[in-house]
Amino acid sequence: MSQTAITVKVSNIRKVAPTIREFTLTPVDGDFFPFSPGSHVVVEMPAEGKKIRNAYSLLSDPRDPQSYRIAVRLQPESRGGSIYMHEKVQLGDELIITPPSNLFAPDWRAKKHLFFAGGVGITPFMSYIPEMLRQNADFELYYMYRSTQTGAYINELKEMLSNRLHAYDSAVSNRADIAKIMAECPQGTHIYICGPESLIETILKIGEKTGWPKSHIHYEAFAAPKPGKPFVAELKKSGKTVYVSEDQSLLEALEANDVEIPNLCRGGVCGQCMSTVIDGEVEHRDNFLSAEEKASNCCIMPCVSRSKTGRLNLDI
Amino acid sequence: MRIAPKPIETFRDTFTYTNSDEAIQRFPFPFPEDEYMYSVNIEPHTLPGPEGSIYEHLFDIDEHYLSEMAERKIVLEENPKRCIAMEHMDLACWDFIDRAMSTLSVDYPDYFSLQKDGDTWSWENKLLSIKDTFTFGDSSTLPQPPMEYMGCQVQGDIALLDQRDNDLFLDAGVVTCPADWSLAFDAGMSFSQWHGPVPLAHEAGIFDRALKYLTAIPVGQPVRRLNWTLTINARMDTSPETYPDWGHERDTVTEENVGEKVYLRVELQVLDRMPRSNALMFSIRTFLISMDDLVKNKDWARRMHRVMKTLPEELIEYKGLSRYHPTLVTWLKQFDPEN
Amino acid sequence: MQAEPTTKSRPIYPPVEIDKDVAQHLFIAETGAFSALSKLYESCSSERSCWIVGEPEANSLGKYPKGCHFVRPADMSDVFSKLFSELPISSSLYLSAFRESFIWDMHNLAIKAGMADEQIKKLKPLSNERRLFCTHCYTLTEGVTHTPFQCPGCDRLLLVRDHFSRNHGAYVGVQINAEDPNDIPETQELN
Repeated sequence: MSQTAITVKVSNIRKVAPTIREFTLTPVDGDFFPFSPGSHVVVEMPAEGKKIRNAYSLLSDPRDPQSYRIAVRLQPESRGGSIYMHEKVQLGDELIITPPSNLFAPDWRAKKHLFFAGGVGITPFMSYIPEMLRQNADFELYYMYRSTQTGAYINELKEMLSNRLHAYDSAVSNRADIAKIMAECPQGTHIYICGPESLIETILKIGEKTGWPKSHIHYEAFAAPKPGKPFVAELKKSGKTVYVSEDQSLLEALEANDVEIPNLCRGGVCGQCMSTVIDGEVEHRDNFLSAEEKASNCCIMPCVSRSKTGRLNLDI
Repeated sequence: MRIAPKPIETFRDTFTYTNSDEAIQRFPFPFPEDEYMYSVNIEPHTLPGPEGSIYEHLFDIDEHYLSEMAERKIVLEENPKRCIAMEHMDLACWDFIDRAMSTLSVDYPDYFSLQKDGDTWSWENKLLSIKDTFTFGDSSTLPQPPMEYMGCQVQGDIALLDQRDNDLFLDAGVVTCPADWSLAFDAGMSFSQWHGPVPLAHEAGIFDRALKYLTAIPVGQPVRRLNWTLTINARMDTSPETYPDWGHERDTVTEENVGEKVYLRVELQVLDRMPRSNALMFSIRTFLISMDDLVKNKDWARRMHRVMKTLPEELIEYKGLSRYHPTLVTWLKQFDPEN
Repeated sequence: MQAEPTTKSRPIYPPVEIDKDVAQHLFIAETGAFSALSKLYESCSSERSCWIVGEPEANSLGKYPKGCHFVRPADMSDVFSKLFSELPISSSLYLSAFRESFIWDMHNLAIKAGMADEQIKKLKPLSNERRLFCTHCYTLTEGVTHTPFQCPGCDRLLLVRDHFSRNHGAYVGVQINAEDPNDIPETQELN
């Protein structure tokens, strides 16, 4: 399913943390749709003759149809998306984004919500909070950052949330006792995690060891595809042969060759881009397929995964 | 809109319902092949669709508008539980109101108007003589609960599906013209649960694939599919609730009356993402055409014979056609000389 | 209306295990249905409790573990709503009953109190008794074991289908002879 693009104008850019830039996007014609808390948009960046598409959480108030805000952390070792956003995008520029989709919505049946945000992972919670306040929901935010790099919105959050905010700045060696926090949760609490893999792993492990129901722990991993060995993909259905370069994902290479496949998160978690493998060994980097599926080599998630051998034959 | 709503015709008792030539021409004939097979036949509902067609707008209003709204009123008076909205679906109901009012006022400006002043909205539905001002999002400012309020102003059944745990849940709706399913019973069910009784499709993995597709629909990208069955007489309310009233009609079909009694019933199902609640709106717009009207189109007549002739037993049974299916096939033969 | 062969809405009850990482375990049974849980109860070495609904305490006579709680059916909703909402997050429920409807009524109380689906472990119902939802008059009838069945609310003869609603804890019934009043199949026991 290809998504109709929306053209937006960059109406404000500001630094919200040493490595994080916030972009305010306004519609070129009409108003935006309101969106649901936790939604993201995919921003298309025409970098250096190739198109990079990255998903960014919307951090603005979901009920505001006049602007969307996203925040991008500079990641120099990435494939260039954040570099492009930090160095090339100027005030007044036009960008292309997809309509909002939501893979990280709050579960409104929860009796209490606990947010664990790591670094730039604060972004989806910024869109949760206005709605939580409106609904009078019971929630607390645990925000872990390193003030020399991240820590966006800390003052704004202190003012909005007062003692519902628990802030931990690792630059002054302030750490959260996650196990204790989780042990004290009342019945019906849901946990939401957004941040680095390590934070997610830690919480999931504690949850498992202490008998937390899995379905009450929600997480959004910010796993943009990482670079890897180049390889060739032979496509059975379209008859094309596609070269995937080092710093390009298979999905991006397909799109660069006018082969569009369904996709949504572009980070290996939603399953939309799953494709059948006819031949070739897959290097799985996703969080969607089961261990058995990965071992069977039946399928691949083109948005993040690559080939171990130099070649893949796909039923695309 | 080219077709102005006709005075009220009935979908019960006297069955005064008729289709104009234009209604027949725009009828969604659902069979692309000579043999019918289940598929995930979902396609983008790109708007605006072809001018004058049933696909032109998000909500289609046609000559039967007043008749269908009168029929809905009768059903809900008889049984108010044919409209349900679980508490957590309030926001989704408001999303539905927004989507319906915003599109209807733009698509049919002669009949509907919407003025917004911040959260104060003023709505007029000239066809039903409705004029209301309310605070968007505040259900206490509407004359009826939001689901009922808007549901009684659009043609077709509406269900709102809550999206949780990568699944869809039937948590609100107004269902007064179903093809034999009960909202009162099915309320709260998940996608595969409410499709439980459908034969054959589960094995083919149809529902798993469909669910994956539907949970990924973003805002502003509605999709659609067609569903079909047959109904005896132009009866809109073929619900399990009222089955004792209409079930016997299936036994009244003879070779002489097939043309006027047997109706092809097609549902245009549209799924649209509700922005604030992340719920999916599932609109089920029902179109009825008698065999006499259908066979005026020679291609449709011929194909209808072939599809009916090759329909699997399980589907004949599931769709409730068993009693009159053979008579129908015999009657249709005359339009398909080769077979 | 024909009965469909298998229906995907009908619950399946996979084997139940104790998760040793869970802190509190509640074993809840309808009168007479605890025996199906006793083996699990014995094997549970974490904090555990036993709850019987519908059995007068006087009858218990060593049938149940020491400290077992007895709840009257009329108090079921209040007692368990409060109990479930005060449980720690790390809890599991183990449900056993003759009536499938009991299991789902308990399930619904737990969900409403904030518990997760996977924490509510259900043993296969011990009898074929069904709660029936009449699709014509919405009457709910307990203890239905045969199809067709006459609805006490509207007197119609209903085909008891396998289409199940977790919310109602019931199977749906539709008039069996609406098309032909004389078409009445033989009574069959439900499985």
